[in-house]
Amino acid sequence: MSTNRQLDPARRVELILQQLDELPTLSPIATRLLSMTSSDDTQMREVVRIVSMDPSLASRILKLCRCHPRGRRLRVVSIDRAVMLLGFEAVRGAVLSVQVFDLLDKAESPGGEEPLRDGAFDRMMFWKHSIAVGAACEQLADLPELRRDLNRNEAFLSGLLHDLGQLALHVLLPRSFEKVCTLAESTGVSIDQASRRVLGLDTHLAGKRLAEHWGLPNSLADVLWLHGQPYRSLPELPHKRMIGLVSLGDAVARRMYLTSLGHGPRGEKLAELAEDVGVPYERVEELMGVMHSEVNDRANAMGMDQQTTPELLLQSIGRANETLGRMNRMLRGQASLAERQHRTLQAITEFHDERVPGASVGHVLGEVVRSAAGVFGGGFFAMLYQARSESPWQLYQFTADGRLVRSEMIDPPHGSTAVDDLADDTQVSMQALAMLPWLSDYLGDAEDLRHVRLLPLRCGWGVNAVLLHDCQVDGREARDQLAALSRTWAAAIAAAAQHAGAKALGEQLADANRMLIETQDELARSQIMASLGEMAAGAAHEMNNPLTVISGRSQLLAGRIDDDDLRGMAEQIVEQSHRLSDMITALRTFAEPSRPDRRPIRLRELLEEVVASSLKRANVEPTVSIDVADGVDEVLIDPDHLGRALGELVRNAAEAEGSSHIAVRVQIEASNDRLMVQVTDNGSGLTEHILTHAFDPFFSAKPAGRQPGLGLALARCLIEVHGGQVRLENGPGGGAQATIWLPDWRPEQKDRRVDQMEATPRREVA
Amino acid sequence: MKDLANKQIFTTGEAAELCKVSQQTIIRCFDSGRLQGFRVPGSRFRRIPRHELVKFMRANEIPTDILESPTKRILVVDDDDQIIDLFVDVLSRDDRFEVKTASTGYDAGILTEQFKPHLVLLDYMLPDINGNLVCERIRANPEFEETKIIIVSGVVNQDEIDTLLGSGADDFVKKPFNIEKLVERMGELLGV
Repeated sequence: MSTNRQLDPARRVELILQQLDELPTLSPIATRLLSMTSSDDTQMREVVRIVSMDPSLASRILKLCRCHPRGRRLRVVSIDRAVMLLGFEAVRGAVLSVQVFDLLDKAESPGGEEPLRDGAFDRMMFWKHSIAVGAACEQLADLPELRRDLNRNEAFLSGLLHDLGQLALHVLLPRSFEKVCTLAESTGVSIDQASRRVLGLDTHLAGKRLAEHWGLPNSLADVLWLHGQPYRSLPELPHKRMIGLVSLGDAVARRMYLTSLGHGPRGEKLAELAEDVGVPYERVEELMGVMHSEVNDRANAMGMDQQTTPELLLQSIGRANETLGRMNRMLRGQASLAERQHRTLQAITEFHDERVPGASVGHVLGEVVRSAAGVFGGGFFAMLYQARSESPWQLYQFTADGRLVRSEMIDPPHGSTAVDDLADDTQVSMQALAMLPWLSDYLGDAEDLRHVRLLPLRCGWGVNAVLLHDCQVDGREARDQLAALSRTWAAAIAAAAQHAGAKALGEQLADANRMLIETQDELARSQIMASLGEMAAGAAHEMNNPLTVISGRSQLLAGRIDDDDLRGMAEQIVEQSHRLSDMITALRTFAEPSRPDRRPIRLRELLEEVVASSLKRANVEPTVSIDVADGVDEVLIDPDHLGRALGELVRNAAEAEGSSHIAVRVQIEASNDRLMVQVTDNGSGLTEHILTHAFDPFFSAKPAGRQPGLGLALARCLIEVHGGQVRLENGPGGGAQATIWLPDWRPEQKDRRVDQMEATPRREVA
Repeated sequence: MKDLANKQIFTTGEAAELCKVSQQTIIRCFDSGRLQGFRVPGSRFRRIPRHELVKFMRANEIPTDILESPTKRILVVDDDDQIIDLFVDVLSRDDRFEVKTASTGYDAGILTEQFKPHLVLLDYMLPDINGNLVCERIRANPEFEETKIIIVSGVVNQDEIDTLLGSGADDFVKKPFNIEKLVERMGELLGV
């Protein structure tokens, strides 16, 4: 065998098969019987003669024939008569059975191995099993449902010899086959599987090979080869049903614990098998009722040790008990495994039950610690967490029952092991201080750091958290349990981290969206303004020419008219054409205001001029007070721009409903040093609608027929190009109040700004 | 005398008459280079261009009133006929002004050479070249150093107005304008 072991599996199998061929062949009688048919009268007589001449053989055959269902009723006293009464094939089956049994019982291993008499393979039980299967097959084949298709004698022979391969291997390689049996016995796998594992050859193939060697009929060889396979997976052979029948017979025998190796039923579904072959299940049950006595009879007939039916029954029960004991041990093992798995599962379930969707990473870390505390009991718990490989570490410390005590950012010393690197370690838990000695700086108040262990919580793409604990995790099962839990925990933490990341991304996206919308609005606005500006520029040229002619001619006309009324009309034409032209200019300015030309201006003087000219244009005469705070004298502004803007505000105040007094106040805003100019009237105030739209171009709240215009829209535009702001609201006194805020208004800021602008590049160079 | 006042090229005799000196003095000054001029090709006749004569008279403190016409030549450049008509109406009624008009930048150039206007009222938007270019061309010629230019335009953008003034115009007047104020401004520029 040692030489065989060194050979490659295919070669070894070939060698075993060759050795099978070296087993003794069947006796000439058996060989001749096999090639005969019942119609071959002369030859048959010859066989009968030969068999009859061997009294020992003849008597065993006769005994066997008497076990035949019909043999019991008929008195079979001679081979001659047996053939006549039972038929040729029944006799042939009996002869073959005896012959094969004798042959193998006496055969020796061609390899010279000593047969083992007290090994796991029990020849006696093997034959009993074989006979049981044979008998079962014979009985079943005799059922009305099968009788037409199957020959009962052939069925007996097939059942009897179905495990011939096992016997052959046992004879051929007693020690190796002993190992096969031991393996099958201890692990509960089938002989076939064990054989394939140990010898690389299954017993079915060995059986087929021997059948061929002995020249047994093909159908029989196929039974030896294919029985035990699921009926539906069998190829469409003419004797498919016979193969199924043997499988069924084998299963029935196992169910009755009539087996060679103490194997009980392998969980075959008898009902299904019976249905496949076409046997009513009640028949199978009936068969099982008489199985033991049947087998006993046959065994006696075969010349095996005398055994009464009760003995055989006891033996079977004993074997069944052994199986039960083994099964019990296995079940106890499985039960304790199941118990552990149940605890793990329960821990996982509880952990999941407590999960809140969308919880923060910190929250999930706490849940993991509580889950761990639940499984291991209380102890020291802390968590190391790192969101991404380049982000800072965070250390969370917990109480024994998993409440968060504190969390802090920690700064691992340069070159220390990264959390991520722990992923490569296959240990479930390791000594914390051995791996990360600097941790003691942060865990100073932990009771005994020597017992603290690291449990990297690892999921698909690495580690981003490590559980620090001082629980004892010993034994394979505990480690397995911990491994399962740690994956669940890791997945939860990773999910929370991902969720946090996704949330942050979502927020960034929303921000970006808002900015995009604002930018789009701004762009659309500036596009509108640009095209409005372009249009206004074109319009200015095109419209100012005819206006020039209108205005010019009217001026000439006015100069020649003596009649005051008529001259007044001509002058009105001039005035209105100039107003129209101004509006075009305003539109252009509104769309594309020119850069402010800031220069120091005396604000009070500017305000006085503005008020005077505005009131003249507004054609109303409210009283006006101008109040400029101390410290405001010269201001740095574009007088054209701001004069225009202030003029619009004053005019608006003057024209307000019920307005009789306008207060202009100038102050310095203390908080940010902006210049604040307020224009307040004592009118009846503005409605919400007006306040909302007052700065829209061509919006007017004035009575119909009064001029709408660009007034406030232009004012806002001019203030904004100064970097200022304007707001219109109802003041405390009930009237409307317009407020302008202007930054950088101090004249000395002009130089400073220049300095800053020049300083910037210098800094960059430095 | 009226004839002399409008002449562009003078003989030494005419120059002597205008300067109230002898012809010999003029010839001497011409030959010494103090009075710039040219000789008629193929002959030795000396000729003196108007502006050289004016320069000479001013340099020697000889009164030039006799050369100067009491009217000022105004060139109006605008592509809008109605506006041209308006200007012609306004200015031709004023004895101080003699008016010619052009409706393209090209015509403006030719007329500037021929008419030698004292003042150009120049529209910005012209069909061929823009007013600021016409302005730059006039300024590029030293002969028109004294010529005044007022750009009259419907342009409203301050940046553009600054560009126009930068091209050498003396003033900018926005259309539509107040006729009285415009004429007043012209008088100021021309010193009349």
